[in-house]
Amino acid sequence: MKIYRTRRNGKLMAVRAYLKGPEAEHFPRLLIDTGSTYTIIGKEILKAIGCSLATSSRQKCIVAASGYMDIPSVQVERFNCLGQHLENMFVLAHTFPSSTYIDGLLGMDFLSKYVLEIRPKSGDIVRCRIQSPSR
Amino acid sequence: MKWDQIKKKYTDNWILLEDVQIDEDMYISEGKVIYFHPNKEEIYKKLLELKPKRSAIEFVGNIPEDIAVML
Repeated sequence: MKIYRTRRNGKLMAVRAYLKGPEAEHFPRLLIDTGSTYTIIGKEILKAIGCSLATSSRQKCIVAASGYMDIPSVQVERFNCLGQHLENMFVLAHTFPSSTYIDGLLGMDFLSKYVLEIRPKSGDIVRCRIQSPSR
Repeated sequence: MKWDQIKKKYTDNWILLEDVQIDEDMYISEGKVIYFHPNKEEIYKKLLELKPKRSAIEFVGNIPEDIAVML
């Protein structure tokens, strides 16, 4: 068992992740978002690590509070967060207002792969070693 | 530069770091500050201009308690 202490953004919880692209690496701060299907990273960060949005052939249609959006999906070589890593993971690219103090969202496409206990009161995330059976 | 030194020197600024070192809890432990500005948009511009090989962006200071986000 490993306990990760998140940084609080007001009442929200954020963690540092690691991204590796074709040209560089970056450590974005991501909001823990169990309400987001996908992990979403700021466009500027993806461009800086060499992931081209212009040549992205994949788009995802997202339902947000403001309506529908088509968002480009790009592949990063390596993604690491909460002690877990994925190779060749697809993430969505979007621009986040600076007043949110985050670089992206850690969505359920990542979170649902692991046995994690999110503790909103303390701001801790507990990663358990035992994996849940597939459903 | 160690994180404690960075905190003292760049209070209330966004910073762009390269050669970032992270501890086992994924907190920044040290790095080289290559740019700082109170506006994060300026940090993004510099990130795309410099394209550092191993970078992070951080706000040095207290995040407002009353921040409200709906995405």
